[in-house]
Amino acid sequence: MFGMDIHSIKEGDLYKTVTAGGHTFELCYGYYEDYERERGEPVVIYPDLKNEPVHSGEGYRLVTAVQDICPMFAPREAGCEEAVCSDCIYYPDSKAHIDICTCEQNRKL
Amino acid sequence: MDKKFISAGEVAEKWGISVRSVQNLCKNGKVAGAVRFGNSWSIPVDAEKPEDGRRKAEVMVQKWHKPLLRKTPFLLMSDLFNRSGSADDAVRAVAGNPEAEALLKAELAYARGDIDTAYGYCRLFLENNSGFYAVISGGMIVALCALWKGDVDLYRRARRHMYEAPCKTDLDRDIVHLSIAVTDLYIRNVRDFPEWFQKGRYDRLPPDAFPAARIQYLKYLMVGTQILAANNMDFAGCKATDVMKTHPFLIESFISNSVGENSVKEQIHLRLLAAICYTHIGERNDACMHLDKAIELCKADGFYGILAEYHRSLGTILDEELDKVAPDIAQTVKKLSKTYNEGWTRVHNLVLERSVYAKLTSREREVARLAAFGLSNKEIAERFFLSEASVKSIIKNAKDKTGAVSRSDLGAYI
Repeated sequence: MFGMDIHSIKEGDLYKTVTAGGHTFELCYGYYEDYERERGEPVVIYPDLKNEPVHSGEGYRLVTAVQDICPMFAPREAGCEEAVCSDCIYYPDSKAHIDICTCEQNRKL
Repeated sequence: MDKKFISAGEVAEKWGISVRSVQNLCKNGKVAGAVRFGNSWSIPVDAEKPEDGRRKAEVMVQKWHKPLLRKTPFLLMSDLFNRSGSADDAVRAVAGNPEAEALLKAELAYARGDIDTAYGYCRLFLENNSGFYAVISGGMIVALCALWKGDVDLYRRARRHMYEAPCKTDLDRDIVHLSIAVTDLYIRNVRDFPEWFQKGRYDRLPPDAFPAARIQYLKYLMVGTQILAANNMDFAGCKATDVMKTHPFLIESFISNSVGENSVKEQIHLRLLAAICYTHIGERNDACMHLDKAIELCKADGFYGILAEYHRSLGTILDEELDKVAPDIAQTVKKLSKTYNEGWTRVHNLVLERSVYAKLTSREREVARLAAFGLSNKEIAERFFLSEASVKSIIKNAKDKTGAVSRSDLGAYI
């Protein structure tokens, strides 16, 4: 009743430009699925680095903060449910949207 | 022919109560199968005598010998405090049940402005109770103690603890949501209360929560309208300042209810809210009338803490009426209100500076809330007809905006 939604964002609007591992990514607003358009506000769309991997110059894999964890996952905090890559100790900056995965087993040599 | 129905008089004799009582029970639907013919009632011969709800104190003393079961999320004192000057009797009524006693003593100490004692009893209560209503009730008192102490970390921890109340149903989650919103309202942080509550439909709550729910509903309306008025905004097409003029109609009816129900604590709060409302709309005489009555009720049980809490909204009018009708307690209340104001201001400034109410969208807030409750991404996605990828993106946004490091941390920030 007294809520005040402050902004209206449109599909395609730029959220942020992110640099990691020597690569630059533009994170824009959009919809992961067509049916979500009916739900209203778009969300930040992350690149699919799991299926379309990108590596740094040193061979480290780039991953997104919201990417599904791999078998090498090691939680930063105990009791980490619904974990994503940014919850892993191999993800250096937990606040970064995209970062390199420092796990040697994921490194492309 | 078998006689299957008997008269109210025959039932009265059978049950050992008055005819009028039987008629009232029938009128209130308490007698299964009773049928009215004109001014008479026909009652099935095998109708069972309903439980006598008037023997409240006795029943409640019996109840308290059991562990503190599901009870309302709001303060226990509403149930037991039916007569001005009898607050300590309420404690005696629960003697023998250490959990109920600890909670009630915490409430009383808080009302009296003895915050260290209130906090101590709360900690004791929460150490021994982790049930749904225990966490909500204790958590709220701790959060309010944190305001007095100016301890923003304690305030946040208490809020986070309330999110951890063991919810079984969606209504449980709504009650947690409501309780957090009520806690935030103390620092004029008008959260998105559950929609049913915004419409005044607090009949979703257990009936013994109604007195407290009325107070919070009024506060929600008043604070929300004040914020709109301060920002020169309309409410439903009407000037917020005009809407404020309608609040007395609701407050006065609530006060009448509380007087009729002998709900002393509710009456105190409602009269203080009435005083604020009348002051805002320039009706000083009405404000003073309610203030004087509230002071009289607070004085009877030493509830100087409650007066101190309202001092920051009432200001000089409370000082003047205290000097006029209760000069012996005026200095005590003023000293307590200074403590409260300092603590309140500190928490208010720190929380709202980092508050994300204005920054999160409604959906981010709703998704983050469910994540804080422990729902999985899949469950949240189903709830909002979204993909899991979208849910993860929304939660990431919410974490960025709030500064929460982990999913469970979100409960402290939303």
